[in-house]
Amino acid sequence: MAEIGSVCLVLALVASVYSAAAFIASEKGRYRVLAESARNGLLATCGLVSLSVVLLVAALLTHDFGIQYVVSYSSRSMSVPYLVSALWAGNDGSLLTMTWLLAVFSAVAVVRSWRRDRELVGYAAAVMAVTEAFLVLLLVSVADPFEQSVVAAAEGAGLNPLLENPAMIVHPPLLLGGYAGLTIPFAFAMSSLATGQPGIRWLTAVRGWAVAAWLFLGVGNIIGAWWAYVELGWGGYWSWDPVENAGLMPMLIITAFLHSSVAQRRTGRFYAWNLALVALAFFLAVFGTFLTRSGILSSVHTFTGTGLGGLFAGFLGAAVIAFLVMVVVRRSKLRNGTPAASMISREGTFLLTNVLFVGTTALVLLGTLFPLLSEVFAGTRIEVGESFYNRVAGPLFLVILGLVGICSFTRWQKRSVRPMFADMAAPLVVGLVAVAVLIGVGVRQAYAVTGLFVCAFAVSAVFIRWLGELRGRRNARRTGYLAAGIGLVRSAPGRYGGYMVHIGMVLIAVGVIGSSFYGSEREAVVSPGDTVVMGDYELIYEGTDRYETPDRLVVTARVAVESGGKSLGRLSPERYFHRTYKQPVSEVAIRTTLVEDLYVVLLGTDEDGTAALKVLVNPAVLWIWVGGGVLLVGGLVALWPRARHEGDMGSEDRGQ
Amino acid sequence: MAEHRSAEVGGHGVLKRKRILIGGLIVTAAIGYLGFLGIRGTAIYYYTVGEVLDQGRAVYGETVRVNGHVVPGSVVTEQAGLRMIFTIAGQEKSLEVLYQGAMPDAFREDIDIVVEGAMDSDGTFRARSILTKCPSRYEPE
Amino acid sequence: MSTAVAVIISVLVFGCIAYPFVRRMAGVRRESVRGRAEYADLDAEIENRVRELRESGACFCPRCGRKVNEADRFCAGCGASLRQE
Repeated sequence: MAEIGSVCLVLALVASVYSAAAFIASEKGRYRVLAESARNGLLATCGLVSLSVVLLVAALLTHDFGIQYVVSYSSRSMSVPYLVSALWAGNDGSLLTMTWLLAVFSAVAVVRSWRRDRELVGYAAAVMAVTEAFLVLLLVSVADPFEQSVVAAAEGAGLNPLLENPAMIVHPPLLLGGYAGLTIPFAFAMSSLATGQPGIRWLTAVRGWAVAAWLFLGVGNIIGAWWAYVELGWGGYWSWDPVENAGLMPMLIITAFLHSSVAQRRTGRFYAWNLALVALAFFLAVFGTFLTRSGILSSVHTFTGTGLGGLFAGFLGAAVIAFLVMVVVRRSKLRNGTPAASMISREGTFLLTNVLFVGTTALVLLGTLFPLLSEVFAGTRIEVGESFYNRVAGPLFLVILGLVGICSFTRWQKRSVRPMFADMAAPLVVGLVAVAVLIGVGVRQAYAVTGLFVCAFAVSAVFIRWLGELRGRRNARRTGYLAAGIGLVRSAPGRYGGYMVHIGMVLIAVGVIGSSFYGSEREAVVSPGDTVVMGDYELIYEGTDRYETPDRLVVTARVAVESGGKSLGRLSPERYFHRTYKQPVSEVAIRTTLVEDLYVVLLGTDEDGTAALKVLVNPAVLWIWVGGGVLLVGGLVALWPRARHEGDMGSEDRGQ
Repeated sequence: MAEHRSAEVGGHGVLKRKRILIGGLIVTAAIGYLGFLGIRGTAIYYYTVGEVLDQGRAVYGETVRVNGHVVPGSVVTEQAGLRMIFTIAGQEKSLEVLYQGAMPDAFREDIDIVVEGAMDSDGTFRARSILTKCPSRYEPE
Repeated sequence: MSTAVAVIISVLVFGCIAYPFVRRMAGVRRESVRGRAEYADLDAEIENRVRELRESGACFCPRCGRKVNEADRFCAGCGASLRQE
């Protein structure tokens, strides 16, 4: 089976290279037949890579230990879902997964745009094919997933127990899909430059893909954070690790693009800016993949020692040069559209938001690369701690949230200061009430109060505007609120999906603010019967149990939780020792409420029954996951196709 | 009416564009300054074991990160795992590390780690945190 | 066995890529039938385009005739104001 897999990949390389060449030739010479052949080549590539994936998954499921990858990342005792997820557990397999996702996305994009965007699809498909060819080249040369195993093994190494969590089944493919998905907008951007088409054409081709890539990255990052929180046992969810940053930066850029692309549709301006954003998102995605596989920066996640670094750096360099060349050659086509009316118009606030997103990304990139840069330019390696990112990203995100609120009251192409202040009164009042309540409840920390004020302001601004539009539609069409609501969302799914996403982001912000400023932790060594007091909780350590399963030895601590004498249940943090895996793994025990999480980790035990416990109280963490869910729903709504006949009436669309 | 609107926008266009450009530059400068302050406030020197020992007295008390290899057999745990003493080695030199706190799950002997903390005047390293690399593959016993 | 499978897959891939050329060459001989088929294609395409335009809420810029979105205030091609205010 492995040989067929390798053959498929080699054929895929041939097909994708042919496809790229044929698309370019067909555009230059206007040969439709050649274009069709090139399209078939791309579809064939998709089929071939899909077959390779099927073969590797089959090898994993049948424990074909003749293949090195199967030996390294699976074992006979793994269940089916985890065997399938082993496809992306290691470097070669995850590269194959990303190649496959790109092949599928490219095929879908090309088929969908074949008629709709026929002027743009040729060069765009060529760019997709070139990227695909590069990835397949890696698979065929330095990262062969079908490599034969050196020694015939009877059993595989199995799964790292830290990865034995349902979140780890979805987190990697979501991020890989996000990276792959960013290729499509970039491809159409290059095509827009190459064909000299009017600036607005490429936006319609690209919007859905940008939202989809954003959604993949966003949900992927949140699931990764959730996994880190429940599995890694340090009580946090984001550590600004270079690999985490690699998944965040393209997402910030594509978020900026989602806003400025709307501004381009409304004012005709920002064409060059949007091209640059999309290209930057793609470059950051390639760069992120490069970071994870070259070991160039040490981090908690990196796949080390794979020799892919040079090839990725080369591809990235070539892509950047190609883009810049196209921009210079086509620079005359880049200036058009009407200037922004003023800073306080909607396009003004969108521009400001963009600057903030790009600025935040730049600083995160600076922090991530600082050790490398300092080593190269100053001779000594200097790292920036986690606090750098918190100090920098915190204020910037807060300003962005404030703009979410303010932006609801701006108008396109209008300087709207006076009406804006009148409209903003209600959300400002809500914000102040929230502040009063918080101070009354005991929340006094300046940053936390400011942050929560902005959150209250932003969320009420979004709701008030939504209600206004709802009422407008209901009055215009004389229907009930529910029908108006559904009709509203169907008429402009992008906008209302956006409202939901904004609300989701506010929820996440509340969770982050609460847990960052009001978390507490302590460690204690306890004997059976001892009580640990933490905030309002009393934790009574009762003792440990030990038991064995076929593949591990488990030590469980029994902890009873009480508050003010009333029992709140029990928590059972565990620590287990895998038979084949040297490191012990902690299973954290968490008691979650809307207000806070009680988080208990078993650090270690002695023979005499004493245990070392780490106890944390993390406020508002649940809001982060709830916000993530709202984000997902909002993103899905935004992807929904617009109901054709709904968009021609009502005040909600008149330039507002 | 349409003509009037364009003329109005066009006439003030250059001034408006300059104002917006300046606004954007101010915001960018503010962000840059924020970053500069951030780096100045949180930069940590990163050394290998050999390098930090070469620094001698200069780094005593200063928060730094040190990369080294955990010497097999050197790990001693006390207080049911809340306190650890171990040795890290690099460039044929070794350094004793005292760590008070939770042991990260990925920590074990014979791996590369980074410890963050400060050198004490008695020559040991007081670590505040340990950073480990998640292995993408591991060897069964 | 796997060599045989590899050959079959290679043939299929080559077939996909070559098919449009083959169809074009075969089509040269059946001129009239192809002609009618082409017109039918063209008709379907015109239908699709018109339907797309009708349903997309699109309008045309009065100055340059370019298709613009219903919600836009300024034409993306020539910058003309599209609103009656």
